[in-house]
Amino acid sequence: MKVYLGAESIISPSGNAEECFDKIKEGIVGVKNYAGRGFNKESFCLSSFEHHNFSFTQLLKDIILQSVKCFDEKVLTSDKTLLIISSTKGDLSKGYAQALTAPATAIQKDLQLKHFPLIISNACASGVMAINAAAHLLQKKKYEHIIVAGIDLISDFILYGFQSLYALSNEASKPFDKDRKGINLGEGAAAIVVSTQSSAFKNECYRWLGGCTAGDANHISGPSRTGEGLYRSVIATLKESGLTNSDIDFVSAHGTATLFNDEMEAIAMNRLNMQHIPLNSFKGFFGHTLGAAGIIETAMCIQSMKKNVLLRSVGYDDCGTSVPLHIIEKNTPEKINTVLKTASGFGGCNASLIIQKNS
Amino acid sequence: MMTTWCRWKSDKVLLNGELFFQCDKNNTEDMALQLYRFLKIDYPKFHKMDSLSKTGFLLTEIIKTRVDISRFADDEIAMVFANNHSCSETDVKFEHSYLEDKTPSPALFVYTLPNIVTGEISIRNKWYGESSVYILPAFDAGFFENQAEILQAHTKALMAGWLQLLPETDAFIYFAEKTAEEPFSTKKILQAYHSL
Repeated sequence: MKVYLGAESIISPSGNAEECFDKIKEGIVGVKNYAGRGFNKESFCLSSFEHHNFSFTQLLKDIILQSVKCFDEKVLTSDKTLLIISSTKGDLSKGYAQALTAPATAIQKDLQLKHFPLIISNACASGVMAINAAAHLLQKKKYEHIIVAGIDLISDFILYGFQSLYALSNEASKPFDKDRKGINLGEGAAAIVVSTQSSAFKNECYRWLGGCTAGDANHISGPSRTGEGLYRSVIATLKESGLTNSDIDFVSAHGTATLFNDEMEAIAMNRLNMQHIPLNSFKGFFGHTLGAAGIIETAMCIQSMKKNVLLRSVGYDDCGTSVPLHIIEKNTPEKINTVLKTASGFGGCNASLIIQKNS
Repeated sequence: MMTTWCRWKSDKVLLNGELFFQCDKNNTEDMALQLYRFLKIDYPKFHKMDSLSKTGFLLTEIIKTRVDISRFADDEIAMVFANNHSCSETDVKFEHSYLEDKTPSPALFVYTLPNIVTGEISIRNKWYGESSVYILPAFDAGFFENQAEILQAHTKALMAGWLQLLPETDAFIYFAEKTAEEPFSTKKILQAYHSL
């Protein structure tokens, strides 16, 4: 059964999907320095909503409605429709034990959804895994349409945690660059509709071809030195998609701008013999939006395919990995047919997916 | 088909329906540590784990006393776990480290994601297969049936279950394998879960 995706929507501090695409193209940086946000009042670079007067659930509702408006709003309350929520920490104002289930309960009631939303919480691989979970459920005919929404907000909890790991940068992050100093945290929400019916999309939709996860079996908070899990995940995704590495036109990497993550990805891409394929990280622009990242970045992949532009990797100047990659340094008009999106997270989980133009 | 299952509720652990272990209330060590000693495991990393990881780790180890996992290649066993409170016990401890102890603890922070348990089990067993963690409002046998059906195409066996720790331990892990005659069949899940 063919699975389609589209209706990609983003609500980020830098704007919606189209606005973000244009800003990256024009070279506008999406992160800025926030003084005194660290545990001991250190400054860190973040992509943060300036005037934060909405709740987690309101943002979740807004992104779902924005996405479904580009599809068919009637399906929202259908028995054949499911909502999947991807988030690492949920709404911490609801208390830790209900941080993920409370917003899901509220959104089900508010939007009159037939099914309780399925919540996936797999660290920074959550977003990519949520899209794959949706596609696999559709292939097994469990539903006809699945709205996949990713959302995470910056909190003291997350900020102090990443700070305690010395993983944050006080400058705009530089994924894959030799001077990269660490992550910029980001916040936001994104949604994509995954469906078995291509005709229900109001705009262009794309094919989902395959998506698999693999573990590193190495360390709970450090990436594998050999890129084993990412390598295995991409091999399995290519196999499921019925493609080979030479079919991929563009790789949207995880690219957090930590020393070890970016090095791990470079090693995995070389083992896959994909080092020559144009690759970027969107995290230099959006920051690392954790559970939303995989969906924000897949939405940007779709934007790139729609507009036939390979977007530059924001923050990149000079090669900073032990083995080379083809990092996109300048926006390049190019027909993009097939895209590989990857993500890796704590727990040693790695996920990938392949999407293709629906010709 | 489901071959082996392990149920830990409150102070008892059942293996395939039979009493496997009961907590000694006079022992000052907690139940997880008592179980660890009972299983005669020598794995120092266990002591660093949070309660969610310890629970998943111990139940998997108990299942391994009945299942010869060496029959499977390193990517042939998938994991799917769920609960309704994520890793909230560890979240509270990490918050305490920065609010009360005034030093955010990196050792606690790394456990503030509910999927770390799959990472710990994969490190222990050198498993590179599929793994995922979901948050459900309550135990749902239908969810596990759907996941087993999806994973049939990707994997030969499945270690799956419910890792609920609040308000008390209410955990259940089962091992299922695909046989030539019969794909994953998890109809016994509900019955096994309700055995305690």
